[in-house]
Amino acid sequence: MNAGKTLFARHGYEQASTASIARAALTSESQLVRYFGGKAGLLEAIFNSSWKPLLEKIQGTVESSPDARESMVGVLSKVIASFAEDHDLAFLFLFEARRPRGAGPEVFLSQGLREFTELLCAIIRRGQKDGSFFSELSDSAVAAALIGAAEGMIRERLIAERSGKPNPFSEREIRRVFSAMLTGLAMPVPASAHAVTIKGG
Amino acid sequence: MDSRKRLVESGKELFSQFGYEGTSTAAIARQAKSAESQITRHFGNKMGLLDAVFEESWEPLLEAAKKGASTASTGREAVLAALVELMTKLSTESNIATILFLEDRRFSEGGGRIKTSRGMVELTRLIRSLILQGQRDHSLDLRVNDAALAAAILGSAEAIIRDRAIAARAGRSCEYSYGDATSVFEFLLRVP
Repeated sequence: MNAGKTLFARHGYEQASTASIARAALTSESQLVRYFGGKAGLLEAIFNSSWKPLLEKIQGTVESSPDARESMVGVLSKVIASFAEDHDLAFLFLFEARRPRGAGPEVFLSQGLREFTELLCAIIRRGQKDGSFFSELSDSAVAAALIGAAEGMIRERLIAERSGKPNPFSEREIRRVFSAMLTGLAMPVPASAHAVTIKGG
Repeated sequence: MDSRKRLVESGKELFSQFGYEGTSTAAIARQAKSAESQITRHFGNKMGLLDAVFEESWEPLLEAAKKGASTASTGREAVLAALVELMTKLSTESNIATILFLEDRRFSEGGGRIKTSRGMVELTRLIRSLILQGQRDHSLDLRVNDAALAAAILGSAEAIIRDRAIAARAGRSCEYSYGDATSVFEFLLRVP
């Protein structure tokens, strides 16, 4: 699994062969197939084992936060810290977690990612009661927007890093944007309601 | 239709159906009633064909986003209009949405760098310039970094487009409506 994680994160899932993974792990391809069924199974196992400790850390933050806004900021911090600690994990999560793969049209999402999304929805619902989030908004739409925002900013930094370019913005700037968005999501009346219809469509 | 065009069309169809990784150049050539050697001739390889699919699919979307932005009176409204245009166009086209938002930013061959399509780069540039405009006309917060805000707001739009495409592919409806999603945007960009 360690070899798979390193090689997937370095060359991408498609271009890392099971042969090279087995070689790096000092084992054989037949062992890889025996344990994981194949390359797809190996990736899934990596995702599952990586999400577990991260979800536990996040759960801890959520429980110790006084309100939903603090929870959300805490979740972002934990994710950034975990990605800084484990770069390979960041690349896998941001570039290989939602690719259409396998026989059917369905895009496979790891259990951990689904639990993470659920957890954010729960924080938002709590925030709609404690005043951290405007209550008229859909919890899952807000969760998607916040996950996307964090991903978008972290991803830009990773892409720059891989191209040998300097960081386009700092972690502090990421936090500032995220907290400006949270502030916007708490305000009850939109500044220019005419631009977008609320709850329409 | 010439063979180049047929290959792009077939690539679009098969990539959206089976995913980029799950589609072989042989299958694309067969579908286009062409030959693999033509893929090599026109595009170099499968990645080159994917680039051509990106080019073609982004063109009308970028145009719509720019047009949406041009009718707005402030930078902030321009950002919202561009993104809402994009989401509207893609809300009924889950096939194109799948290719553009689930197959981009791939690891390059050999190098291990991340390759972003030109269309995506151009969209990011557009949003960033609208944000700068908004910071100048004070419709957006001056204290936030424009590049970070562009990455964030585009990431939000992507997540919503992606969620909806993934739900459509699984044959279920998304947990939130299109209206729910667009109204969230109104809240994300507010000057306190």
